[in-house]
Amino acid sequence: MLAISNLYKTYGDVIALDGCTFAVEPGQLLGFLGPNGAGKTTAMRAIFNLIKPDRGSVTWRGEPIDPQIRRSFGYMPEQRGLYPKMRVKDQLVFLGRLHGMERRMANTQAALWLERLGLAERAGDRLEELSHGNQQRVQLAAAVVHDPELLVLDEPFSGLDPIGVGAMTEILSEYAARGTCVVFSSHQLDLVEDLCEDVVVINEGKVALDGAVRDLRNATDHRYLEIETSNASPDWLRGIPDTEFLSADGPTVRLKVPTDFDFAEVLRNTAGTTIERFSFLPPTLSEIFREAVGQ
Amino acid sequence: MMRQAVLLVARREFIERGRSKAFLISTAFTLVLIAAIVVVPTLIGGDDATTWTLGSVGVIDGDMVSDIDALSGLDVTVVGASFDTVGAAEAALEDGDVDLVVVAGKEILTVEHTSQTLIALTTFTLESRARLDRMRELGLSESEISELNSPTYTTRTIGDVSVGPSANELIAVMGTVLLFISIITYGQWVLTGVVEEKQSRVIEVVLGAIEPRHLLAGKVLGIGGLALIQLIALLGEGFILVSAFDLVDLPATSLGAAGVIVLWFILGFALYATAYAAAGSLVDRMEDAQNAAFPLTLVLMAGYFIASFSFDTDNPILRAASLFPLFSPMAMPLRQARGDATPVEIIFAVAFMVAAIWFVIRLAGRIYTGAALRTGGKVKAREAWNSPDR
Repeated sequence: MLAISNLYKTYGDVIALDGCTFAVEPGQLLGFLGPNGAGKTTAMRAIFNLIKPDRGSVTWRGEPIDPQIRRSFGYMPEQRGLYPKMRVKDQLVFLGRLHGMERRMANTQAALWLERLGLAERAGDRLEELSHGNQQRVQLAAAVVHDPELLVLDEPFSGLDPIGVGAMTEILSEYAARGTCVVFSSHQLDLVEDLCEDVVVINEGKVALDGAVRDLRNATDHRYLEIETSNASPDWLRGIPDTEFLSADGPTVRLKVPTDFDFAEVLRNTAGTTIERFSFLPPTLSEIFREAVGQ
Repeated sequence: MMRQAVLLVARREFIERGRSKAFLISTAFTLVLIAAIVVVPTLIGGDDATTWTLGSVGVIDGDMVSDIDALSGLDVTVVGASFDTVGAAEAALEDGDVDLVVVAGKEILTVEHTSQTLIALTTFTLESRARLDRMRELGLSESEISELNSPTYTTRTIGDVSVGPSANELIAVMGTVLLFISIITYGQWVLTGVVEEKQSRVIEVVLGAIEPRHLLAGKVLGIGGLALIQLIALLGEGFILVSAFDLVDLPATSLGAAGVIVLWFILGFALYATAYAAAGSLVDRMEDAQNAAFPLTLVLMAGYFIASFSFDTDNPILRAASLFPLFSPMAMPLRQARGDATPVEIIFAVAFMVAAIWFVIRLAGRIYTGAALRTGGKVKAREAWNSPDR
């Protein structure tokens, strides 16, 4: 288990981390969310000792992370990059071996990953000769070639086409399924909602939300009530006690209501309008996120 | 594992750069250049290897030819040619086929351009033989003849004034030039290698797995190893060609002189390459690399210029430079190979240098560690030194 406890980090006057605390369990696929500048990258870099926090600790299975343990982690930084002039397979073997693999094992794994990512024929090409999309694939292979126990990816979906997103999703789920701790940051909240059971949202260096997406959605004190009526002018839905009129799109109206809202309040005001359809919805991840970060 | 990380990085640098076009072409070019420097003058100067042809009317006296050949010294070969008539000999002399003709052991025929030395040697040889014959006719015994012929003087050579450079002087100068070129070329490779890792951002992936100081050490070792092999190959080529073309006599100490060049290359490279790496870590664009390293390149070139102004003789400035660690890699091998440095000077120079390397590795290592992950413009050395993320 990876545990990040009470991390503080300042750069001059800028507070990057302000008591950040969360954990990743084996087999968990954790979405790590936050607006730009919230401290996601700083927290991820702290796991790899790339920055030294002012205070706080990062532990793995309850122990401080030494270089030996760190070698068993996999990392895809936000700023992508490999050796431009190095041959693709040599590159993967080199990085695999830096992570402590034997030469033969590194060779086998590199070949397997290239095969899987459809790059077997490009194994002997220099990285710079590959298209942007293919370079991204090699970057992913570089993070996982040594079969990491913890996989940390900073914005792995940025810049990927839908096919790339599909492949990435599959690989992340696969690693989580076999017991790896997987944590990744992303701004694509719909995607995170589909992919992750659990999320951590940080804002201004602090954890604002931490838990299962379903629980977080259910735990909110409001729901969205969507009502479709036969009447094209739904103004009668304004001013119902305890509700907030959010929007109207033709005959469809969206209201924000308390969790314990009594639908009878609506029925009491229909004034002859037929209700065609209605639904109660918990907020989406995207809405929870915006509330948590105060926007 | 730590050692393994260093070796893996070193191996990558060695292999990737060793098979790069830049390395292969520059090595091939330098090998050819050295061959040209050594061999071409020998081929062009082939006419200087003088052969004098001594003509004789009647059967030539082989002993006379070999006597003159022996007296003429190493650079000249004397061969004989026989002619049946005086007319034929004169014709050959006029055509330049022979340089001088002896007629019946009594008369010497020459042309205007006949070497005065050859005339003198021939005259001397003929007179000596005539004198010997006269002595025998007078009935002197062999011991008396030998007594009369023994020299009445001795020859003493004063000072050690030699014409042209000795083998070790040649190695000292050529070696210093090679050493300087190697340090500056491969030091720049370390510089650009570090910048390339920052520019391509691969640095973050690598440092996610290993420590910055191991990356630094591996890089300097790998590139240094490649440079060392090239330097040894070039020195070896020089040795083989010089021996093959008999340019100068290579005394046994020459190998020692070459060893000195190699030793100082290792020391100089360790110092300068580490410093170049630190300079490179301060910038993240290739365009800024040379600027960041400029002060370093300037110091390195100053050391070389001090040495190059003293290629002929030892002098106090060179002596001082040979003890000063930033300059000693260029100044000391020159003095040592030439035999000008005393053992005490050598010991101090090496000791100072080792201390300086230790100091620079600590300084550069800290700057490198503090700056390697900082991107987005230049980092000040002071900021890198004080980086909290070291």
